[in-house]
Amino acid sequence: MRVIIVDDEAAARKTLRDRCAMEKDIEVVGEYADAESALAALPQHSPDLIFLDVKMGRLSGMQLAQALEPGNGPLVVFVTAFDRYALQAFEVNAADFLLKPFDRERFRTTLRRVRERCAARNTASYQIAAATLAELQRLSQARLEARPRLLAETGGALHMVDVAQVELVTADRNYIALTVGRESFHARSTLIQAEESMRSQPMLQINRSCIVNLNHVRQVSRTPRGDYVFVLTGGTTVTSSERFRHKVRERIGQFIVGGPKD
Amino acid sequence: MVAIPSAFRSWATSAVESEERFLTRRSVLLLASLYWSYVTLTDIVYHEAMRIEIAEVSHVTVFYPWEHRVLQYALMLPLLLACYSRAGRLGWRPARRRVPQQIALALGFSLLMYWAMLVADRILRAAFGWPAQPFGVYTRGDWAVWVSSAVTGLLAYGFGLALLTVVSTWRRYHVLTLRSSELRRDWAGARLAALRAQLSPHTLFNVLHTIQARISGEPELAESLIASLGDLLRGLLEAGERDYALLKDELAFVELYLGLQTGRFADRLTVHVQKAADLPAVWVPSLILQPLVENAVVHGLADHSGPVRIDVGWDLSPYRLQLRVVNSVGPGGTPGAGGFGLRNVRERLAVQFGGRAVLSSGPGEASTWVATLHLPVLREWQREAPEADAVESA
Repeated sequence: MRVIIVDDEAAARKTLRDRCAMEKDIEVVGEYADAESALAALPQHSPDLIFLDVKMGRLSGMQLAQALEPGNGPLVVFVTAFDRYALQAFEVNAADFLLKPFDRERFRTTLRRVRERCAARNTASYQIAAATLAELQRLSQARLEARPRLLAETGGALHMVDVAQVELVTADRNYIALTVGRESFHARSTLIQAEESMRSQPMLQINRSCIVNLNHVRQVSRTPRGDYVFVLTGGTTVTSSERFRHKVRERIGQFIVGGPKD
Repeated sequence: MVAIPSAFRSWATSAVESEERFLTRRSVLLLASLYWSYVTLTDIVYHEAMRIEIAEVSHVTVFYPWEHRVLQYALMLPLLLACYSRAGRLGWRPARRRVPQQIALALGFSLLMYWAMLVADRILRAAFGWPAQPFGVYTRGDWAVWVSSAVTGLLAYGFGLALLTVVSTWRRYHVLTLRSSELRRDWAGARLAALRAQLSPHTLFNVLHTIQARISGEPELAESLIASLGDLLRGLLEAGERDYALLKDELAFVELYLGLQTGRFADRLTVHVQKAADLPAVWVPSLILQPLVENAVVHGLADHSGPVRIDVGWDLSPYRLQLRVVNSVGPGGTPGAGGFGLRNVRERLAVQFGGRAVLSSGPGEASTWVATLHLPVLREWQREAPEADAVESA
């Protein structure tokens, strides 16, 4: 198998080279410190496999992988310190990704996957597709589970509430109230903390005590005075206050047709 | 809506915390106007009653008719608003200078009351030629009427000012209470984050030291330790960003940590972590087990050179989750009961659950030390939750 290594760090390239040297069927045909020169050298080497760092100078490893010919070009293994690239790696059809730092065992596991992929290259293997699908499912499940939860209480019982389901957060003295559909929870927290926990969601503060999850807004209208009225998926209605009106307009004004001018 | 004179910005900026508006301009305007209408109404009712009563005994017109009063109060309204706005801006401190100023303002306003009545009279006369018959049986002369209307005005003005002050103070109190409770919560949140960042640097350096020692002799082991350390730090970073983690992830993290420790004390330490792969999705405070396990390793190994066994287990009932960390102690070893780690865990439980979660620790059977976490069962809330519960309890 002809391999090229692309990493902007010399020590990282050496680690990979040493590992590859221990495998009989692998030959390192080129090493590059940036994606541009690797891309330029591809036709000359016609490698079977590229070890690719994700974060590099101008052109990232991800962009290089996107530039490759799908189905016909070399297989790609991303070598990165961040596991948040995992899903993206699948989008560009990577064979695998290796998390830095890795040991021999993990390197061999990766190689095994690559060899399977290589062997199945032309015979459109059902198993490979199924394995990829399973891996993808695992990753998206992991991402779903990694989303922060808020500890909240309703009717005396504690629950973990997925931030993506929360439609509205309302400050209520010592507590915050979370609206999820027709259900209401309360939690010992503040608006500021809740906003922090709900970073992954498009949150918008519409008055002193309310932040709205814009993913759950079903309808927005305006009162004659110019305040915005939000109808949420669960049917709850909230109105923006004068002080936050311009912030609301900045964020969603472009989507609103008609209504009074300010 | 009426355009609000810019003088009305005053009330809030005034009161105490400058820059801060506890009463909006609009509400000051509204409150003062409402109050003034009320005063007008009571004044008219009072004087009409007096007029009717006096008409029983005499035909002399003593009081101005009610139209005059309406106009008089209407004329005074802008003046009242201006005075209140000024008073709001003045405030009361320092009292030596402000109190006389406030009194002067009040007096100035009330002395104009009679004057406003005269103007109202003029206007009504000019516009409607009314009232037709001149009246002017002023028993004790003009000055007495002046004094009496000034006194009425002063009372009304003072009461209104007190009303506005009370409302503004109440608003301020409300806002500040809210803010202070918010600050308390933020502080608790910050404390939680600080409590979570708690893998002791001591452990980290020891692991690095172990790796260094293995590099030349057992490079393979050193490599796998480095990879595990990488995973551990990644897990730590992730956990640092959230308050809760799935129990299976928490156990996996603890297993990783114990794996590294076994790398250090391969000859002495055996570890068993109860499998949790098929565990239902139950959540626990993230990194809650790690200090307990660290504690178990440190105290298990202390004061003797024999083998140590560490067991991490869990027990899930419908309403309660128990997490157990058991370590064997050396013969005659005195296990450290407190320690920073345990205190840390207790504090976190108190912040996150109040009294609903406890940590107990003490000697167990056959020279062991047991730390047990009793937690409420935290599951993901789902829309169909009630039905699911019913099935479970059935």
